[in-house]
Amino acid sequence: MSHLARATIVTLLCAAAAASGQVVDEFPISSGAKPLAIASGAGAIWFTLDGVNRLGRITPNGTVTELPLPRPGRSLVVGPDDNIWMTSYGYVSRVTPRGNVADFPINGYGYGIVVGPDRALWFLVYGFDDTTYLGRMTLDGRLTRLQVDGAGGSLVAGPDGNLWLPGELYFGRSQILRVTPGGEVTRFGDFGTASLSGVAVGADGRVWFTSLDGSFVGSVSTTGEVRLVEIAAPAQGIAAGPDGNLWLTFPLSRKVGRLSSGGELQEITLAQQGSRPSGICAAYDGRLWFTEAGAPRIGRIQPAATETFTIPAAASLQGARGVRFRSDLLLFNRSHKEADRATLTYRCLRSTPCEPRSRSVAVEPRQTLAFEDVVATLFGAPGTAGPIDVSLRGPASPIQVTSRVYATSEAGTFGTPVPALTSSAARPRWVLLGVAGGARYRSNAGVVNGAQASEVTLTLRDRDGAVLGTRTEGLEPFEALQLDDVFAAVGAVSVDVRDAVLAVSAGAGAPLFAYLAVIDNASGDSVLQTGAEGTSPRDGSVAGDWGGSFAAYDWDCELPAPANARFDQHGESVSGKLVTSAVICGFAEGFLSGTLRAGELSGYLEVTGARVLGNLPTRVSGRLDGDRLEIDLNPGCLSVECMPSGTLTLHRGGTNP
Amino acid sequence: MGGAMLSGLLAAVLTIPAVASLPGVGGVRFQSDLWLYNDSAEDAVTVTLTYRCLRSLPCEPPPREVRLAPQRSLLLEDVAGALLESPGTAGPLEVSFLDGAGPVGVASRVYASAAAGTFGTPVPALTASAARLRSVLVGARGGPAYRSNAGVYNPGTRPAALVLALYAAAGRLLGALGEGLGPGQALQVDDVFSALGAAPAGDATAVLAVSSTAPVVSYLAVVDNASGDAVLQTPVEDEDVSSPVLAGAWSGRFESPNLFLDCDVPESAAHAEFLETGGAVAAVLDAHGSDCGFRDGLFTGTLRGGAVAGTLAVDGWSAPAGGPLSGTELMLDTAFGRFYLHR
Repeated sequence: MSHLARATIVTLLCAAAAASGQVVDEFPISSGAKPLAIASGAGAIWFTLDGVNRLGRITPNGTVTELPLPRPGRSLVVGPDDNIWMTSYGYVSRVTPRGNVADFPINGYGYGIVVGPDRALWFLVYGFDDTTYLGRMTLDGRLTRLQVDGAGGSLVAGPDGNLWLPGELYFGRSQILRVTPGGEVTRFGDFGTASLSGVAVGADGRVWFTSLDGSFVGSVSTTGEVRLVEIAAPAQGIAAGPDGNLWLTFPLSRKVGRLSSGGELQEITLAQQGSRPSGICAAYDGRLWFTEAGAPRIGRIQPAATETFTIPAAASLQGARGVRFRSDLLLFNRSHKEADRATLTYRCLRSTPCEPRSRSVAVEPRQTLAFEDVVATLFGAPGTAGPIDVSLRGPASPIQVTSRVYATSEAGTFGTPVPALTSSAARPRWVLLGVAGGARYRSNAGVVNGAQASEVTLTLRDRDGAVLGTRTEGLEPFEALQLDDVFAAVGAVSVDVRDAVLAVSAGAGAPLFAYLAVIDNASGDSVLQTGAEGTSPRDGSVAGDWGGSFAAYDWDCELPAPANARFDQHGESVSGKLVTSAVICGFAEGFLSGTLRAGELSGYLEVTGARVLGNLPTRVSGRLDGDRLEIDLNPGCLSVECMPSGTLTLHRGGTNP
Repeated sequence: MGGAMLSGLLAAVLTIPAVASLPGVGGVRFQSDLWLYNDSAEDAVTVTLTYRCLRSLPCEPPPREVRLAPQRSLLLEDVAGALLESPGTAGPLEVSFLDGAGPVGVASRVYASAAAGTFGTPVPALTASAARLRSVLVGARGGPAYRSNAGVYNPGTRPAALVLALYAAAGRLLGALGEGLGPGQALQVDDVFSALGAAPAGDATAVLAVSSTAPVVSYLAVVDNASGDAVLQTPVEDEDVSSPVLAGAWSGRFESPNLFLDCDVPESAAHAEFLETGGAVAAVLDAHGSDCGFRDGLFTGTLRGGAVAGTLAVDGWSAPAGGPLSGTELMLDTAFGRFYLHR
């Protein structure tokens, strides 16, 4: 029995939120069931219901449905197989988006569940035999157990490949636990008797956690350095938002809050008394969704637009012959009236590792803030080099960013401006001109990765297009790499040229930044360029909201059918990714990320759920013309049932035509 | 990418705001190298280079075409002196090609060559959107350690009356300069602190605001006086100050190092017209002067705060004028000299 309710949208523009443009919508759950945990994926947002044998589902536009379950769920996550994986009393359950349930016994009470770095499901179990263990389950339901004493109820996959858990009282104190996939447990911090609750990985790479009865939010680096931020009320849920901030729920004070990496908290008070916001997740639609157990409602936050600029290269390093490299950074506020803020995050190169570190600064109207030797003075990371991200509150922010990296010597300074590149300029392929080698010059190449792990290939060609050498490097999310002397790095002989060309391509279509620094060996002066103008995507490139429809397909219109598409062009790496949810016989609320050029394209399309029982990717081809994207479907049989020939037509704008 | 007509077809135009082929002191030589790359895997592309010399170093070389085979890179060393046959000059360079061709990659560097090697700065190729009515350039420095040179290029077909105003890091006005720039003209103002009558701000940086009645491309080159190395900054759009200044009575004084005015003349009449975006007259100032000062000035119309530009006529002499306008003060630079007006 499913319940379908078209919710009444309640839009609140709260006083605290209005200043920064956060918009909160709330969607009632007409059955009256109280939502608990929440997760995003497979074309919807999913939530467990307290004491009710149903699974909640809400679409990005607010339509709530409930699917029957054999027992109430507790925590949930959408797996890499696009199924919902849920813990409950005695079981981990795999629930397809259509509601088919497969149960796997776990001999205990299941609590938090996440997708681990190995793509398996990891979850916490209080065993019926009074042991606490971390369970690992493969997508086909095979279970292994790691006993972890004193573990709390939630967990998160850290950026270091380990699992991180808030701990319960253990020998009289609360701690944060790091568990390696092999079961080695390390405990960090001492939070007294505070009851730790939610846990999330922030944009700064730290593991953040809340306390249900302590007035603090904490964070721990992957090396174990703990920091606390004092807040007024206990928080429960925590999620990393797409705006680079952490988002919190405060069940006792009916608030949700936005915590910047600099420690500033902005709160939004919900209208209804006793609404008890608890679970929160960042969804694929770019918004934050949270449960209100006391209302009962599902809340949605549209975070204020942010814009991040990346300065791909900064340094504070000692060079040879007494030369010292450093970077100066200037922030200028163009506004005549309003002060504004910027959050700066420094990430070290792989070769000079350090923990990411963030600083938030205010810039008064028409003020220039100058940070000399910014890596050392603002970030406290002398002896390192790497990129700096500058997050502003959005395209309307009046703050302007400039920087210079240079060498200082007795003869003065020698250096180069380093542009601040907006995040929309990130792309999976870069062409860098003027690569120089030989005795007079050397050339260093840098790559700054975005949020996706990627395999990056650097191809060096001579002026006639002949390949001189290649090199492939794997980059973790947000990792930065510099290859000194690109001729040597790609296995080429350094010859006395100044007109070689370096192409940098991301194998998974992941958007990234690349730069080339050419240094005069005699003077030490460098010139840094970040891709020649004209090689950026041309008109017809697309990234943004798309909607579409299926043609010639017998579709079960009431059921969700998420689709994922990856495209490539010109025989190069994947350059666009489409994620959609399908409702009403068409694809709605699709979001196309990456960039595509106008013209022919090819790639893979995956459709899951509904009557297509498998999710095997199938090769497709298509074309992009202005705001129209056509994909020819002639894949044969996907799995059990076949998708007939037809055309998937997508129109820019986000709704079905 | 900017659009222009090239042989009847839409062309992409990129502007490199500064190239040079100039001898310097002590055997130093300034030159610009240009790199072009055709990213197409199949089609050759023809690139047209159009050089616009600075007003102070005039030249008129014909446009040059170069053809790039697919996936080929081309380095043009000392492009102004060699291919464009204009040694002893400097100025902006336009790079155009048929829109849809390529894409064509463009990169350049202007630098000095000396016995100790080369030192210089990359100069990006800018799209048409870089031409603005209001621009701001950050990081200007003066004093013994650094000097800053500013450049402006008018790529359009309308004359531009422009104002360069230098502000301290805290927003205090240091100095301003009014200039006129015809279509296709470019100028460079060396040592903007001196040229704008501003005292260097010590180690602090200053901000250069460029406002104009027609879109212009600007840049700022900050030069280390010890090493000679330069860093070239490109502009961003400055905020449009929306608060209007009310019409009303103004008075002021006039300082003219050129002494165009005879201060003994008992009565001079001044008439200033200030332009808004698009060139329409937004405000008029009429005043009477004596003893090199003006009184009974009357403003009609409205002007926004910030930098204003227009023309000023005094006793029949007319010249471009411009300067920064705050709520109660207007500093107006002209070829005659500088007006200080107070509400």
